[in-house]
Amino acid sequence: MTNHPHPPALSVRGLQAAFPGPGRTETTVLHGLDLDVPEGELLAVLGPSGCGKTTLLRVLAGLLPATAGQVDLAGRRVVDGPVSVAPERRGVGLVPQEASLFPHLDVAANVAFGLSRPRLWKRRGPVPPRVMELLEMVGIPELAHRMPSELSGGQAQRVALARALAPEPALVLLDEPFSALDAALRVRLRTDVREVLAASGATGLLVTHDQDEALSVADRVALLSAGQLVQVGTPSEVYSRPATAWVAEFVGTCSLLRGTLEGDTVTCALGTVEATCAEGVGSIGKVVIRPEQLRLSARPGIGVGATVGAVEYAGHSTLYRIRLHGAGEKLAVREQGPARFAVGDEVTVTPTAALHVVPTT
Amino acid sequence: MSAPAVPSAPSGRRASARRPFGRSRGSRGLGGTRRPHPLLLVLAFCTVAVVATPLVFLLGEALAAPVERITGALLRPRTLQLMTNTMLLTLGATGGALLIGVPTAFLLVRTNLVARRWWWVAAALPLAIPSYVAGLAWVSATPLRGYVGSVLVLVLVSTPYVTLPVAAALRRADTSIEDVARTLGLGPVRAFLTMTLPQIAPAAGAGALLVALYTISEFGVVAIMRYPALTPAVQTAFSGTFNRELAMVLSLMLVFLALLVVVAERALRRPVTALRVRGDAPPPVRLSRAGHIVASTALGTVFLAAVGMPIGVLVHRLIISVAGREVEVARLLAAARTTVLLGFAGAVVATLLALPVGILAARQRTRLVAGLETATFLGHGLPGIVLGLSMVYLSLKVAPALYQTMTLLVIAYGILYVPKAVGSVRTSVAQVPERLEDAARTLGRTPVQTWTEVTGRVAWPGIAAGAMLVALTVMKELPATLMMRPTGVDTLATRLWQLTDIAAYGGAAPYGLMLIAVAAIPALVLARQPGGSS
Repeated sequence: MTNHPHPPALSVRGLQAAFPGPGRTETTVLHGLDLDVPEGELLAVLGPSGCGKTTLLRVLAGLLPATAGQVDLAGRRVVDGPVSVAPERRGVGLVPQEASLFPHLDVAANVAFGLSRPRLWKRRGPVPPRVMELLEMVGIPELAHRMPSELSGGQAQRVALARALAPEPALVLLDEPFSALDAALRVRLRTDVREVLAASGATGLLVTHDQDEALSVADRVALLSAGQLVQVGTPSEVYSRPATAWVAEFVGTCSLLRGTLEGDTVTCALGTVEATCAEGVGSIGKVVIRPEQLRLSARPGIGVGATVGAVEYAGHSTLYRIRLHGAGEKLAVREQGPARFAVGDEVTVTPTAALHVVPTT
Repeated sequence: MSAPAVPSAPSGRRASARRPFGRSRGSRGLGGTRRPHPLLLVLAFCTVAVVATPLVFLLGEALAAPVERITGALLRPRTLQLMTNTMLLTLGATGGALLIGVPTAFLLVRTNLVARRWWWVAAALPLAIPSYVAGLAWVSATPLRGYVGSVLVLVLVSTPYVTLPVAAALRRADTSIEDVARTLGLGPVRAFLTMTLPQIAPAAGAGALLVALYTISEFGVVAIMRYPALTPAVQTAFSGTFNRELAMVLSLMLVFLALLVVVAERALRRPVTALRVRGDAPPPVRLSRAGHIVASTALGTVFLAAVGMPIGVLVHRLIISVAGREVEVARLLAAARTTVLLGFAGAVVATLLALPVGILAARQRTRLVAGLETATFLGHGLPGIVLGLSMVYLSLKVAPALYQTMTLLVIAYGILYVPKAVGSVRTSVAQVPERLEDAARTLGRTPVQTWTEVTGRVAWPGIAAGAMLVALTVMKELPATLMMRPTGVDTLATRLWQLTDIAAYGGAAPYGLMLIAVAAIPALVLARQPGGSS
């Protein structure tokens, strides 16, 4: 993404939002978010349930008022504190969970809904070319006259995507669109969705709690925890250089060891290793060790001694849970191929790459 | 008959059909997903005002009347006697309905009784017999009168109000804890009493309170049975003696009793908790051969008394009267036509009144909305005879032109059946996911357009079906119609009542059979609902 002459598709500054609780109480859910999404990018907002990601999506769509902050869509201010533009005048597409197709309209009419004024669409009539084009883009042109109740979950999501893209929105919001689908379908559909978004040149914001989904689909990932953005970066950045221990653990399996920093190296239970540092690390930090960054050896002498505590075979790879001699720290190690060691084996362990250090708190 | 059959509802209410649920928009902020459209709130308040007017008016009139006339009416020994009679009747009918309804529900749900599906329909069918039609049948065929006759007929027609919810609760009840209790040393009866009975008690309580409410407002049966309860006394004070104060005092006592029951029902109501996690039904209790015979005989007897007997008697009477050329065909057809017209007009008004409140109740869970919804339930606590009295006095005082017009009658029906309509609107709208509305909004629709193009479209069949049920209920209404109908206009119910009053049972029979046909449709729908696939 090079420097663009256009303003970003989405620009969020200091956004706060609250959710109406029981009675007159309000629970603040978003605590001042800053976020930019350039045109054509797909950004994943990743966080556990209750972190505020759905609230963010609803505020961006205009379905929930903000309490403070600004939101610009393609340079146009749509949220300025509590003042905001109604959802129907924002030009934002929404792909809700479970598709939420209009049950009384067929597929073509669902897709045409955002294109036409009331009553311009006709049931069973010829499908307008724009609608056909969209259905072809999402790969289901033959379903134009089906009713939503006659669609599978994956087909319904494709229609929901076409429906959202139809008015050529400045931003498409995807609210965990794959969560209701089974695993194999989910993987296929998310690849297709990514291609469709790229082909249409749409800017997308995908909300999800599934890190695999976020890392595999998105151009960049924004990690949201308790209503605050913890880190925004490319998938490989957030995976290999997490900003905090929470990010490190949320985006993938890892072990954390205490370490002392000295120049470009860190000293921990695995010895002294080359290190990269997250912002805000003092002389002591937590060393993030991904399972694939370690190698086991049967030969004594190289690396640190350890005992194999458990072996989890996963077909293409094997995960060992080992316990270091001495203080007894537990580490996870992943190796390609079948198991080379059994439970109880004595091994040695060495890091194969520079390790990443995050702040202790 | 110059009055139009179709009501001219005030514009504010008529507008409610088109007014959507929605959110505030534009520069005033989005209003949030869970904040009501202000217009909708205003309309809901209008509905509540309309519903509350008759009662408030009656109360105001009573307070404005000379004190000594009111106290005189209140302190008559006869008044106390009427009140006691109504309470005794309520206790008798409620107790009887519980005694028959709970065991029936148990037999239907928890045993291997043969032809359970058939018994299920049979248990709901008494709802198809308007109480005064059953009363007419019993009076014309037996010497039963007074308290015993009233209680018998009321128990027979109102037992389904207990049976159906209790059976539904029994299906939902978590029987695995009963199994656990058995393994911990309890006998089958004690396990049922200590584990399952508490789970169905709220449903039984709610059903019993419905029966109580039904009995308090009941007019036809007690009048036919010549039992001196409050309702016929109101009618007598109104039409016989024209004693306004007495009629008002007796009415307010009825309202007091009814509201007591409504308040009790709402206080005891528990949210329905689906306790059973497993989908599979527990194994039924195996009845012995003798058990089968006893249970089938008992259920069969109740069914025959509640349904077979009225229909049999009426058919018999009809045959005799047809042979004797006693059937007034032209008048019968005219009454049927009027009844159908009034039924649909009343249903339209009730549904229009119910829309704003029902939509709010489906989407909002705030205290304000709950209050508005409760306020519309005033209609539930308003016996038809009291509403009739109040509307008559109100129209005479405020708009004499409306007195004894179809318009006023239709408005009264609207008020009386708003609670039913609110229920169907609420259920239908609640079944439309809010995400559909979110999608419509982001696709460029205003709140109004979202309602007309999505929510209203999807909810419409349910709302219409609810209105249909209201229409069929309106067609059976007796006491308010009796008081308010334009002179010379018959409905099926009023003509039946007149003929019964002069003991012209043969002439009344066709009216009774037509009313049963009208009432059978909602009864069958109701029988299907809690049953599902059994």
